[in-house]
Amino acid sequence: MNTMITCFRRLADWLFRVPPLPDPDEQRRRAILARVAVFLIAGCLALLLNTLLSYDFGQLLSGAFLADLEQFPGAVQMFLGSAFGLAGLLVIFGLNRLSLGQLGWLPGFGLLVTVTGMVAFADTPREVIDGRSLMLWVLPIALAPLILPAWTAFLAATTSTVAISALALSIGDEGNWYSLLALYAIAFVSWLAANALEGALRSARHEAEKNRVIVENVADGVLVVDQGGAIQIANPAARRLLGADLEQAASQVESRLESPGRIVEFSWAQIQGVGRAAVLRDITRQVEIERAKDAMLGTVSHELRTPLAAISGFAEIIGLLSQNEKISEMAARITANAGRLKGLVNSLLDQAQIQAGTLKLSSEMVSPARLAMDIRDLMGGLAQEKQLAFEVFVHPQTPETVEGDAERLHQVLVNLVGNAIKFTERGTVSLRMYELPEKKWGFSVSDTGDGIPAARLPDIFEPFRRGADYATRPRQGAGLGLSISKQLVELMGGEISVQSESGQGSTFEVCLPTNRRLV
Amino acid sequence: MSDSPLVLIIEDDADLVRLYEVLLSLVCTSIHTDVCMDGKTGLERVQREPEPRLILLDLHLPHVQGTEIYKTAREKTSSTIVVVTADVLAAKDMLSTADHVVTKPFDALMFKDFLVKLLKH
Repeated sequence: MNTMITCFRRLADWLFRVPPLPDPDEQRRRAILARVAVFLIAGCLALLLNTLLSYDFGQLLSGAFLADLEQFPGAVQMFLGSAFGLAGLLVIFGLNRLSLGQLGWLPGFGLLVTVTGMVAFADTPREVIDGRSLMLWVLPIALAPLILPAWTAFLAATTSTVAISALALSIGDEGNWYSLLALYAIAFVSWLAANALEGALRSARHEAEKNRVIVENVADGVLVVDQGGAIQIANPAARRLLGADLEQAASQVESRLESPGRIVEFSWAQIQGVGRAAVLRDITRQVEIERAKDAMLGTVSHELRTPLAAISGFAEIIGLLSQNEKISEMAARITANAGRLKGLVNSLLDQAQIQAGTLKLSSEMVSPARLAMDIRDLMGGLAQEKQLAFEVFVHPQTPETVEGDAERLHQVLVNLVGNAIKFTERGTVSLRMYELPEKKWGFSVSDTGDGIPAARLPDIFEPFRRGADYATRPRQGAGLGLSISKQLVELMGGEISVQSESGQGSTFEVCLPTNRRLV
Repeated sequence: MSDSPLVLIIEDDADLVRLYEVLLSLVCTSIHTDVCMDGKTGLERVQREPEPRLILLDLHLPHVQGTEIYKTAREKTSSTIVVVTADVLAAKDMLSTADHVVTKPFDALMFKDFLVKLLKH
């Protein structure tokens, strides 16, 4: 069954084949013409065979069958008309398979003449002109705008009218003028329909051409692949970016293709009914910069940490071994300052990693209550040193566990609580944890410190900013803590905000999802 | 703790080597140390007898990287290996494979206590 369908398809493809033509309108007309010609040839063949098969070989050879046919009105005309039509249609069928250049109109024009001729000889002249064959005259008029430009419907109508009038005169009849007018009415409708069709096609082609020109000229590569993996569109930028890797790119699903000396980034999108499409970008330089930056960070970090380890290590040992109180005290100061440097190196590394987008968060089950207790234990001593009250309050409704990166949450809390203690001279620092609607939870850190002047609030989370001018403040720090905290919270899918008034203390609030989607 | 455990130090920074030696001497006066100051000699040393009880291994070393030495030492010896590195990203990567990872700078006294614990086992 499948073989039959395949054979049939191949036969149809062969029969309806038209050479490739530069004008899309002519291409469309010639394709329709090929189909019309094949169906008309089949019709003519059927009519001829119907007659021929009724007679034996001798009758056909001697022409005796024609004398026999004369007994039936119109039969001879139909036979001869079909034979004439078949011959003409075969010639047109052959012509239509050639490109013909400037003579591209010839097959369509030939078909019109042939069909008009066939109709004129389809019956006895009287039957042809008196309206019985009117229906047949519609055929060339309706066909004309499909296989030739739209206005040729009128040419076909005029030719038909002339043919009918000639037939009428030849038998001394006045003819049927209403039928002739009807032919022009049909020509008019046919012309309207063809014009509308051509207009629609023109604007669709214009739109498609506009889109094609845009796709061809955009700076980014555009690659469209159908469901079978065949390339539908690859604009010049895509071809330039991919070079010999074009075919490989069509089958790839990854967002990056690396070839020697070039890295191309793909943003794939599924497009229903088409397949998938990608925008391509050359990110070689960007990746090189990122890699160089990572390498530099690694090196700088390494080169700072190694001597720091020696400085703080020896200082601790000196402090441990020394019997002299002054030396012990100085060793402790070295250790403390090395600790500050270590904190700064860590902050710089975090900041650089966040900005480069290379900071990875882990995902684990974290207990907010446990976290709060850890912070109380860790920071309590620091508050006590400044004689501040440190309150930790975990609301009973706070989720028992949430999904998140425990180490980074801890870092944010240490930053916020550390800042609160640092900038508060008397009073209280409080940490509160609570549940929030829409599967969220949060915590707030408030203090009774100096507060932040309104003018400083907008850029409080910017890196290297401090609540007041660095030189006039006695407190230490590079001003990275809040910036890193904000970026970490945002990476966790949360938000951080601050409320403060000069002299009234500050409150930092963090809101986080309980189920963190991995960023 | 056995009488005189052998500790292999693979570290290219001379000051840190000295720091380790001082810390180890505080752990136990009879400790023997072997020092390799580049990756190549470190790699050769871990494949040779006598087998150290403990290896203090840096990751970024001249000639051969510490990760490679770690792999070989893990295959050829039953020594306890402590990776001590200043590269926090490499340290994170090593966490899944290495027994012990310490990042520089570390708290020297806590590190000493940690060495005591390791050498006791």
